[in-house]
Amino acid sequence: MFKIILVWILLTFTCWGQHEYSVQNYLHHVKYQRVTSRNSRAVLTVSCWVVCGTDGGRRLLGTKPSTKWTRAGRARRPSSRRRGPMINMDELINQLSATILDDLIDDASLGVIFGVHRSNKLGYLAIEDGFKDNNGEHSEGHPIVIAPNMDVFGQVAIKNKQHECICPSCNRTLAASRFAPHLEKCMGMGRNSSRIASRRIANSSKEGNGNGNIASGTGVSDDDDDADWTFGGSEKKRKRKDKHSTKKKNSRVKNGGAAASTAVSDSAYNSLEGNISSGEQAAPVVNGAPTFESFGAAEKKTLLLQICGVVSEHTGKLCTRTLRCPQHSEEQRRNIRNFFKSFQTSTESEPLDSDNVGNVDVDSYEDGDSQAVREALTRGASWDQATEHSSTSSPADSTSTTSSSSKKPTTSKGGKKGKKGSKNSTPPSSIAVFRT
Amino acid sequence: MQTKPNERSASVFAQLRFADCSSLFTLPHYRRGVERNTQLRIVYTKPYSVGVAARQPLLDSEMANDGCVHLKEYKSVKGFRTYRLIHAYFVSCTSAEARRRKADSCICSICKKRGPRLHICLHCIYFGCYSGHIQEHAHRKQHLLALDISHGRILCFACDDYVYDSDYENQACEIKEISNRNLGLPHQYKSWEPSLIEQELLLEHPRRKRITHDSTIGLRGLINLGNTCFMNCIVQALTHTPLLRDYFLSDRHVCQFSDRPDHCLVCEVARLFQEFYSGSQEALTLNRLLHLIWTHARHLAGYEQQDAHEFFIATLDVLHRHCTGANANGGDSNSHQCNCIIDQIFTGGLQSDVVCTSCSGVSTTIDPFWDISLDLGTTPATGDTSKVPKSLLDCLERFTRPEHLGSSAKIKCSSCQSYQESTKQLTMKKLPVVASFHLKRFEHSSRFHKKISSFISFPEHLDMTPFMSHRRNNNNNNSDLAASSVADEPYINDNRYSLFAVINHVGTLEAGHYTAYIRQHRDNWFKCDDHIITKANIKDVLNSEGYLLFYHKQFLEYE
Amino acid sequence: MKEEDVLTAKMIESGELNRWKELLRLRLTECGWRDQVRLLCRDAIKQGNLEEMTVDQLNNEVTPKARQLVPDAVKIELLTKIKTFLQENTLQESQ
Repeated sequence: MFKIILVWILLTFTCWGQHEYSVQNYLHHVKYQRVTSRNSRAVLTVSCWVVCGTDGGRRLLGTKPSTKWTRAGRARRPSSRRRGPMINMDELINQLSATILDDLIDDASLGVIFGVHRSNKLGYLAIEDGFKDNNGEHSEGHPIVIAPNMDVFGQVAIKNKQHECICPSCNRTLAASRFAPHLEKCMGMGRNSSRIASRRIANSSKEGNGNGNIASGTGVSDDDDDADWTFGGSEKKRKRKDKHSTKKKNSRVKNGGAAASTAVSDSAYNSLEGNISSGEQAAPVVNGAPTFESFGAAEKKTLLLQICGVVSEHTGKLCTRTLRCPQHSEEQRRNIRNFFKSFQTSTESEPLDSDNVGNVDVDSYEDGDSQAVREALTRGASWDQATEHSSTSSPADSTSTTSSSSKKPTTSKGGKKGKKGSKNSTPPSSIAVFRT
Repeated sequence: MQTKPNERSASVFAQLRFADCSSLFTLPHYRRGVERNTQLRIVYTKPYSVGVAARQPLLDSEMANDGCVHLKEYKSVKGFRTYRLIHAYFVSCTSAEARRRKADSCICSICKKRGPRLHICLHCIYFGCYSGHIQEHAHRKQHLLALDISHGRILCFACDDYVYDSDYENQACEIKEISNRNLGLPHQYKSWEPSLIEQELLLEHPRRKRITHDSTIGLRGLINLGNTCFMNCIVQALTHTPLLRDYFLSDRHVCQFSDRPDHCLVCEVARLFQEFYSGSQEALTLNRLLHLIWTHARHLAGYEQQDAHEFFIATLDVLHRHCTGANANGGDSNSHQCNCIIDQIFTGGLQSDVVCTSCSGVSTTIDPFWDISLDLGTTPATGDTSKVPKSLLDCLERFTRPEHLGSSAKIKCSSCQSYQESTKQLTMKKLPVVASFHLKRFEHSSRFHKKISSFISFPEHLDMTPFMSHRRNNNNNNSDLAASSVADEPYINDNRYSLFAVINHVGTLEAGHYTAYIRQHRDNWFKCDDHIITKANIKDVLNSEGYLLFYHKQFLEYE
Repeated sequence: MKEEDVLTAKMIESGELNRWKELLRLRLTECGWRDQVRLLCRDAIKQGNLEEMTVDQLNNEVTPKARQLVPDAVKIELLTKIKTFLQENTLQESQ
């Protein structure tokens, strides 16, 4: 039986080249043998007789060494066997483990080598390396500098650098360190920004953007929104981390003389949205009291929300009737409010092109300019004339508005955190939203 | 220079390759597979011409490597069948049966050994090891091609080297996938390689920028625009978030505001990334960014210096909204289904379990979160500081411990149908790739504001496993958690994180300043104080007060 | 050795060898060994005189160094696993 199988196998062996490749053919040629090892690195091979298919082989593998299928000579047993079976087994296992591990590591190393070799062969390495400069260095960029008083770029570390930047809102160039306060006003978020906004609207209206009129319903909404507005300085919940002083108040010059009154139509705010990115505007307030200018911007705005505010030509005072006062037209009310807003800033000789139509120099507004502007208005002077009269003195720091809205966007995840305390309890800055 | 998004996609041609060392990883929805990485370094290219106008689709399959002429000839004659067969049975065994056959047959015909580097002849049935036997067979029989069994690579004796053919490789990949699945192993990770188009582009533009240990690439100063240090610090942290950096440098962003690209905050952030990694040394002004964020997050607007944490959350929110487009469905309600990069990186799931004390019924909810705000605990009047947390781990313990809701806060238990007392416990259900911790140092009660400056130590490496939901729940239920189940699965449940950014607040509530420490290229730390960037060491970082801590997952898994 | 043969065969049959390979690969990636070796390879290629180095050349040059770079912790972990398997299966054999 044995010999028949052997012959059969030998026959198959020789006929290989003509046989179709198949797994069975492979398996036919494998033989079972004992393996002798000559060194500590165990050679692990197993072969088995396969008579037909692998079942025999599997069976064979599981059998004890004393089966009749074993061939070859007696295996040379390692000398450690003489010490005793258990110790020998442990050593064997250790040796085997070490060998297996070495093989695995070599295999891993070869794997990496294949990867790199392939990348190189396919040209990816060259692509990745790219251009080599004179030093053979690939990296662009400069070496890091580590030296006292120097930053990593080798530049001397000066705290306050003079830089300029452009405001995306109004496209003006200004000093970088002044940018944030500027932007705040520019975007209509500061305390005085609403005036600026209305001024812009006035500009745009003059240029034919006849949007936005009136008023009738706005009075109600004004008042409602008015409740949100609280006076600047009293919003304590905002974390104040800067010591920025409110120079604005200091720079306001009280006008000697009559309490000029301004009248700006609240309806003007309906048209504010056209040119201002922010939809929230504050309604300026006018107080008929003589010392109107001495009022804080916030107070002015609040007052203008409640009264007509048109400057009487006779008395020079503000009309204190209701917002629907029949004596004055909406146009007048609007004008006054526009002008009032413009008191926050003074426009220098800016080109009032279409881009800048609502552009007001948010930084250089002085309250002291209000008088001249007001007078120009009440004389029915043109807008341009009015601006010419305004002084172009130093930028006012109408800053430190503690105005920031507590309105969180609905998609904010602020409320979804685990034990997060309420940090965002800041007061609103959205004052008097006028909507058509 | 302002470039439109289309142009930018050509001008920002980034590859996610790693310079010098480190493995590759890409974003989940672009690649399949598992790869573990400790660090990543980016190589990206910035072509100097903006010639390609339209965004080129990156075709992954456009690789036509043909090996050598001998292999080509073989392929045309024999095709793939033999190759597949060999692979399925001897290289990556696709079944138990195959493994048995491999165990049986993979022995050198001559020396009867299993190695070293056993090869199979591709022309006939012959196993030969590399110590001369396969070579001898090839020479004798003029069978020029053989296959390395352990790695499945084709050796061409005529070329005397291994050759690579993409068709065969694809076959090999398929079979390996099957094999892995059969064994319960994770997917085989396939590294990114440039497609044909990408290769052309890269050859055309050979200049490369790398983040190395001694290059300033990746570092830029940021000018303070008037108490905007809070914004500067957050931007530094974001631009050094590895996964986010990869996303933007590989130009993955498609703007949703096609008609108003200037409105898109994500485009602006992408532009910032380009600036940061351009190698330029000039400090940047974030005027446009500030304008955009104030436009889209009105509640933040206002000149006065703001809280960095608030700014961080608002920024993520706007980015998230802009990633998904202006018309995101339902806004927040779909947030857990959103697949934008912000959600992929930053969103985790916080599990809240409320256990009714009478019936032990558990009511579980899972809320998404972008960061964890940790209470620092007040020092009791007695001066007993034993219970006050002193480390980040202490804070996390406090955060995830069960809290007995007192009798004044009874909840309606659905099974008891009555109001009962309960315990509530928060645990991490799903951790984001970037875990941000916010130490609540600023107290805002109605009476006073103050800053808690107590020292909280935080580690460089963090293992979040003890705070995960399954762990805590098991701990509560039975004392001896079956740790072995976790150990057996090294591929999943890997919750190791590494610190990469720390934002500190210096000063008092009224007058203070934010600075940031960021990590780059393995273990280089830098201090970012507005426009002054200096080298720092890890000790300084770990000794700093710590207000916002950013940890990045060390090992990423892909589907 | 017969036992070794049997054990090896068992390793392959059960797929345990594949699992060890994968685990080793994982650990070596985690600890940065793969990156180091890759770097060694690339250095070897750049320094090599030939335009393209063959796998054999790379293997001869890089693998000895690579062996030394493997961290002990990884070795111990794998060794433990291997020994456990071998012991379990040897016990079974003798039963």
